[in-house]
Amino acid sequence: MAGRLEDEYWHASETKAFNFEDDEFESQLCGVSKSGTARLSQRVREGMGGDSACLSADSLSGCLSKATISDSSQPATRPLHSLISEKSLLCILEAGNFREKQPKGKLNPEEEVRILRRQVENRWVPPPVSDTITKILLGHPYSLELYRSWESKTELLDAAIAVGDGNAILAVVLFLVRTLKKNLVHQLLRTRPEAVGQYCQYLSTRLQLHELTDLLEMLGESREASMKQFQLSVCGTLNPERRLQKLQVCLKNHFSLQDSKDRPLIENYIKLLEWQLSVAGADAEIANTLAGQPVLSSLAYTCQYHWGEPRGSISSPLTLSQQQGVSDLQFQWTVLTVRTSMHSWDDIEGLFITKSWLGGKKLKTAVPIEKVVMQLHAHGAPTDILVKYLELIENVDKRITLAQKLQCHKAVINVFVAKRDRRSLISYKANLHPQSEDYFYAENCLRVSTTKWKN
Amino acid sequence: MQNTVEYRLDALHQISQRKLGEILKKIPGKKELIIDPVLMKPLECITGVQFLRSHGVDKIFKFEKSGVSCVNSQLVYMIYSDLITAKYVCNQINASIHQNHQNSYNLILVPSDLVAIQQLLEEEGVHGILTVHIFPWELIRLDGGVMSYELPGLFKMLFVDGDRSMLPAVARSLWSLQLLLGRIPLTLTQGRFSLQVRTMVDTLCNELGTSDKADSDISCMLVVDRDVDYASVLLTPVTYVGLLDEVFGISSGTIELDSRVTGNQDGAREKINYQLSSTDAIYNEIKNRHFSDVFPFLSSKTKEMQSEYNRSCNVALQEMKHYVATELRKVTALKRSLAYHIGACEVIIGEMGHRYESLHQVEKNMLEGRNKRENFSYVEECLATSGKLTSLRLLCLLALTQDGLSVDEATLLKTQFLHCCGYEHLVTFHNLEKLGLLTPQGMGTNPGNTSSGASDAAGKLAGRVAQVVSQLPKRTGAFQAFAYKLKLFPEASEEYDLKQPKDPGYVFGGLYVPVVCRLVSLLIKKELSPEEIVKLGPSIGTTSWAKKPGDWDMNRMFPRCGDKWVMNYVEIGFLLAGGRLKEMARTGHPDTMPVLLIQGLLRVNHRIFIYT
Repeated sequence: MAGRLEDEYWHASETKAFNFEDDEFESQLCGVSKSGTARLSQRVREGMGGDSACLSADSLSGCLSKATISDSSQPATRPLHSLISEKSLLCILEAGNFREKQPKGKLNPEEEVRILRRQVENRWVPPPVSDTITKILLGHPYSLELYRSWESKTELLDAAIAVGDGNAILAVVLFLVRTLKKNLVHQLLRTRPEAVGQYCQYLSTRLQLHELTDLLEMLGESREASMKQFQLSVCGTLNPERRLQKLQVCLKNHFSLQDSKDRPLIENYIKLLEWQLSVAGADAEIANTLAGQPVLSSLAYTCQYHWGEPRGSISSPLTLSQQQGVSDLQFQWTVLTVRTSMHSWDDIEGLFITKSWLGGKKLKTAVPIEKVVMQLHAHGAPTDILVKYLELIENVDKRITLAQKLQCHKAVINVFVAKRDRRSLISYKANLHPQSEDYFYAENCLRVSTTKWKN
Repeated sequence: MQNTVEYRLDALHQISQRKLGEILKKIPGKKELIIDPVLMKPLECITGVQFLRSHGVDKIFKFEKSGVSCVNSQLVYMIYSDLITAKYVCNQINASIHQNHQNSYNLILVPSDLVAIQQLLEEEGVHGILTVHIFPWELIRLDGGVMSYELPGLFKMLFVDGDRSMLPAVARSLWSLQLLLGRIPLTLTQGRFSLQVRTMVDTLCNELGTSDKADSDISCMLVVDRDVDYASVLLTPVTYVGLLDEVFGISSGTIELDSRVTGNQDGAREKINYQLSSTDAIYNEIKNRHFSDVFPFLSSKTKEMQSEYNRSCNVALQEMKHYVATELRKVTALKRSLAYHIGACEVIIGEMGHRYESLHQVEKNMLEGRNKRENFSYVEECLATSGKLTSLRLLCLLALTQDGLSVDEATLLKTQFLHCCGYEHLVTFHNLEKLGLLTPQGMGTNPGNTSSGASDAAGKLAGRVAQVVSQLPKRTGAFQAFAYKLKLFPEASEEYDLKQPKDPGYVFGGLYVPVVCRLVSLLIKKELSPEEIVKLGPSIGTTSWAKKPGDWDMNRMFPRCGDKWVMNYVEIGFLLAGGRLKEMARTGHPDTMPVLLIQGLLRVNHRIFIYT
């Protein structure tokens, strides 16, 4: 007995065409079903202490200690000297520290004087640019003050760019900014995008907006400049009124060109904020939930609290949707989600089904009808409603599959009746719970004398 | 061979620890350590509370902008080398000075010193008051041969902002690695940042010294820029670890499990951090399997355990004692691990099950450039009905595979995305355009960008500010042409068995082979020379020999025996900035990396993969 159960249970992972026993809608991935894993996990947890997992005492952020998850104890750490030679280890450890190169061996006084004299001379003669850039790369002390000529400054910048060390590039650019007049700095930067990128990033992190905009506009990067302005005026401001003000300024100053692709979007953003503030009015609580929300969340809000308001009213869903140009798909999905969660099934009908003048029902939906049915099911729509929408799926095979998945037997039965397929109906009936409502429905269909069965 | 390398890699954490220890030793007395929260997890991989205590750390706090109340007078801040965080530190120190606290202040920067930060400290007047230490940790070994430098924002820094200030730190980590394992004779690069990292490593070797080891444990290093292969980040992975990342998000090798997985209903501890490690025998078995192959394994394991348990119930007392003494702990650990992994599977199915099949089909169509209209409406549908990230990923994949969107398409999708996620994301779109992921068709690339070879081409790409254009040529069907050239689409056949895969394409359900995997397998096949292979990639490819090519016996480097690659660790695949899309979408938000891709590779060939 136990063995048979066991087997049944271990094979639960195989995909089954259709299982009447599962009353829950099966979710599966790559052939593994959720109920299969659920049963398995229940099994494993049996007899497992509720809270015996011990946290590692050594952990900084409260991680499970390795010992609780691994079946072998941690291997002892191997001594460092067996892994790496002393020389290499020292080399790594000393890499950050700067040491003047020590002359080898003993020196006689004349040699020492020569070395000292050279050092003094070097204080006034700029060292080769590559040496200095390497020093920056290695983290050794360096000085840029000696590079005073235009030529040496140019060389220095190019050397930094060639190495590609962003820190060195920035060091040089900051030095140039300090020692050259603005238009000369710009002249150097104009042909060196790497340096511009590095410097711009620095300016925008330091919020030196004025400098940044100047630089970008000089380079003809007005789009980049306006984006930065937009980013800083939006992302840095939480208060909706201030954000609105900043946006209006930003639009006027940086998106004034009529051909800007982004202009209409920003205008809509402003309208949205204005709309949110006016709907919220003096109510601080509404303002908190609504202000700063995306269009669709705002739309969901109107669907929940202002449904049924006439078209012209400011807080009606239609008004907002029209003002923002929400796509049909997004509009319908939002309405569907909100209204089904409130169990207002009739509203859905108004949204999707129009009566044609011959009295037939016509479907007008941008959302694939399968998704509509699934969403209705997810929110617990009654069978009658589900059947109604299932019947709108034109592809009969798809309709049957979905109806079976959702245990919506009536819809399946209706298909067989429409096809005048008596045999399929009989065999389907055999799988239904006897005495259930669906069972009687099927029986009733078979009994009706007006149907002309084809088999 | 494999083992010696694995052993040797142990040294990295020890060296990191030692570096940190030396910094702490320089700060006398009892200290209070205030750690940047984003540093916590990586730091945890190299050290623990005990170690810190033994170095005089009395209390450990998470760094908060609002400040912390301290007891001791020795304060040690530890943060990433990030200008904004540094500014907050300055604020706290200035506030503390203002209140006449007689504290001494230290700042540990990970991983490098930056001019911008030094200048800030000077401007804020704390230079001299604050002692700055640099902690350039070594590569952090997450699991087995997977290492990471753990720089959370690197992708955005490099590819969106054009900020290269972290490249030297990356280069230095590779230099240290070569001191440990020996100088790697052959280095291949794909992409402009990779090339620069390579030259920096050369400079470091010249200036700071090289390993005294005669032979290298590794014969070839492949360094690749992330933008060489965006498809791999955009597609949905179907290995166990890939799905874990998709659903839970892996960060520094750990995932956060909630009560859905742990089954703790009492709410005493709602979430636990679970470290994904190969020492967990169950995880080690399943991590790289295709999801369909994971569940049968878990079932049979449970069955096995059950029967063992039943047997142990019927044994004599003496044996029982023995069992309790030796086996019980092991069995309990195994059971817990099983329970967690099964629980995780359950959550994965719940989250992905209902949409995976259609998603997979659409991804396939996009890759092959078919059913364009359907693909487009699927993306629209996602924008209305699914999560933000899913839609954005698909949107990018759509643009990537059809070489950009037409102006009309772009406007439609952009508006819908902004409606769904908020107008603030205008910036996100702008960033994606800069990355070359959402370029309008026939725009955005100038012909000069596709030139390859000359080393200074990298430095002189004419372009706009911070312009980061994907190097893929943008003709119609260019993506497909490139993919066919490199054979990135696995041969479609009925026998493609995801459980016994012939190529790494199983990671994406048999749809696509990541570029890095293809390059590595070409190197191993040896039909082409390394120079030719690296030129096949979409970006600038270079080859560099530490010694003359003639000195090296190719057969020794890439030995092959039958169909199995016997020599492990011949290559290091190094992905520069393996950031995920999440990072671009939420500007400035540190996030996880694509473990999915890298670990997917590891099943096929045991190699070291490093990503930053």
